[in-house]
Amino acid sequence: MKKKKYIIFLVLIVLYIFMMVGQDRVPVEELDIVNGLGYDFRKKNGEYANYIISYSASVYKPNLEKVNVVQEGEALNIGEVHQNKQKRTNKRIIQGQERVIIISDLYAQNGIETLIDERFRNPEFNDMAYVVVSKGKAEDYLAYQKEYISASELIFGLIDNATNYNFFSKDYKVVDMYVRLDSEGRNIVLPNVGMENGVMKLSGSSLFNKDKLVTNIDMKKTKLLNFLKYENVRGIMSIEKNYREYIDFYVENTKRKVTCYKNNGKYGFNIEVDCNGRVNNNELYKDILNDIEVKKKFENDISERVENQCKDFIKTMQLEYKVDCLDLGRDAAATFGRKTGVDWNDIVTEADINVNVKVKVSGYGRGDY
Amino acid sequence: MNNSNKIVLSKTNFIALMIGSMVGIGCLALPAGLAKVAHQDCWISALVGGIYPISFVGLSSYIIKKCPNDNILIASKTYFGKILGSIFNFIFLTFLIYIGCNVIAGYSNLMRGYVVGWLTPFKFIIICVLIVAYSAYSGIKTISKVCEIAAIILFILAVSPIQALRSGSMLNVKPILGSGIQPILSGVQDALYSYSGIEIMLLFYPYIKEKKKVKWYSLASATFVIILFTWICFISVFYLSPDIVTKSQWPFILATQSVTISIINNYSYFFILLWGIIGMRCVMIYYYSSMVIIESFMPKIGKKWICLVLYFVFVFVALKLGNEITRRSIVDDVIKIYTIINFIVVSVLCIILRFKKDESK
Repeated sequence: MKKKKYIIFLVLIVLYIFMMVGQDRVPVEELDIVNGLGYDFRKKNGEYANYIISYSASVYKPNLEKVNVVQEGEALNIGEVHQNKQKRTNKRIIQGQERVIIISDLYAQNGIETLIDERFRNPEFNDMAYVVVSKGKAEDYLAYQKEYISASELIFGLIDNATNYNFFSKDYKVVDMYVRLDSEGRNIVLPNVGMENGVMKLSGSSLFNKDKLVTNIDMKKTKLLNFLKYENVRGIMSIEKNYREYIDFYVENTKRKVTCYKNNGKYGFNIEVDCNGRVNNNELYKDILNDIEVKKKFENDISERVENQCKDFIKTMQLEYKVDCLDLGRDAAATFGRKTGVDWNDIVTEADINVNVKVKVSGYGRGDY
Repeated sequence: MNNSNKIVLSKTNFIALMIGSMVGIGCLALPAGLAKVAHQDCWISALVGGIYPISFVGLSSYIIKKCPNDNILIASKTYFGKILGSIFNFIFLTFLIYIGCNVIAGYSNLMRGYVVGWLTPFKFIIICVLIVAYSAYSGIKTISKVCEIAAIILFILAVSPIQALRSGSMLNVKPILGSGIQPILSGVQDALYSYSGIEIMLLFYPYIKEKKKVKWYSLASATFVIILFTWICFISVFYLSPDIVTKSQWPFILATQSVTISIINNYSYFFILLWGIIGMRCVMIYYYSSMVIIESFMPKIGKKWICLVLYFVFVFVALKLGNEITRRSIVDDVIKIYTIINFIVVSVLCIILRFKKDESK
């Protein structure tokens, strides 16, 4: 029995050595741990010429200090860029800790399929990283430093906490890109970051058709887009007469339901959004707390107002963007059948789209002042 | 099989063993293959494909009724004649070795794709087969106990992507039956072969005391596996939509990324590592069964040497199968042929048994 124990122990040691032969171990000070990637293009004479991929990495100094380093590489294709990056780095580059991927709008216009394919294949990559589109060079955003350790952390936080307002959802991870890119009736929508007076912030959304960027829209429209597109999102709706008389309504929960129909060859969609929320401040409706009539009037007013805004947005979507950013094609594909060869973007652009918003006030806060 | 009277498998042992023989690595990739032809209705194909294990259990229960004390090896020798019976047994042996190696190669590709990209397949396979050989050497009772543990793990792992129900959408699965009867049926054709492995029951039924209940035990495990495969296909499509399922090599693992557990950073790694136990015990069963068949051919050699020789065979074949794409392209055709041969042999045996009875009357 004792002999057996020794043999097992010996075998384990031999196996361990066997596994470890050929694996060189490197201390953490000699690693570049990538925490963010930036994808960009360089144009030469108006044509797409070179890929530029920048990465921001955490580097641990011998005195346990953590610093952030941004480097970039440039080449004709993505694989070559990774090769070139190593040329000017004196450390080993380690992937798997990425927080964000920044795509410049120039890159996005050319199509992001190259990026998605590269990331999808990569066995070391962390695909729970967020994806954003940047206005201007991606490297500038990675290099942005203001009281944060790294820009990647900042952008990660920006998107992670954006869900509290503006009806943002959290579906901007790389996995979500995989799921949306080639799926029938769906299109990618990504958050957009921009610099304003030297401060980086979320500035709207970027709409994609297949893998190509169509347009960037501002925050006001993003709010409506998100409101119509996602479920269970939060944000503020308000009615204002002037700067003294207004009411803010905080939507805490939304429910979305899409029904589609076909009339004489023309498609039609009904979007129903039910939202629940509380009144944040009220200087407009007197006695909203006690009078049910006033409450009903408010609910009607605000739903009508939001409906009109949404209809305006849909009109611009159909006339200007010409892309189905609300994922209506997904519902249509589920109702009318898949793989029939129709382009849902075209159909949604020409369809009748009706919006129905129902508002329910569920709370008024601590009181009415 | 001198010791067949001594060893007795309990009910749970046997059910776990049967589940273990069917569920290996293939089911993680099952939705990808089915969704290529049946699109969003691939889960219906998987469900209908369950005809194969159920009909196989039906046929074999007839054999069990007729010759309750000796396994398929002895039965085929007595009823087909010594030469023909031996040939069939040999085909069965190669089948077992083949699917065993297949699971190992598949698991090594999976691990190298997600977790240990820095290990060479040689190192990985050598160690895997060592573990398998060691446990197979310790006998059927040990293996069945491992199977019991693995069945519990399998259940937990399979249920865990239930979180995907929240983030996926029913819209991905609709319209149900929308891809047409023809594609679904061709999906069924592929799904049939994913259930291969249940043939093992003909080797192990002598270990059960009450022969009448073997049928019900196998049916129970077959139903479990059918439900499991249907669930895997359904949840993958539900979470990923039929277009994306075909893009991944292992769609079910992509679906597990929906799972968020606090403390665990990336559930997929956890999932794949635990799935290793399931894959390994599957190979253990095949390894042990191959040992049993070789022993029936050459009873004098002794277990130790058979185990050792098989070790090299397994490592060699598993290494030859190569990367995931080439492996699958070979495997699909070969498994089809094997499954058809197995099914035909068993049905012919049933017919022979039927006529024997008439003669005796």
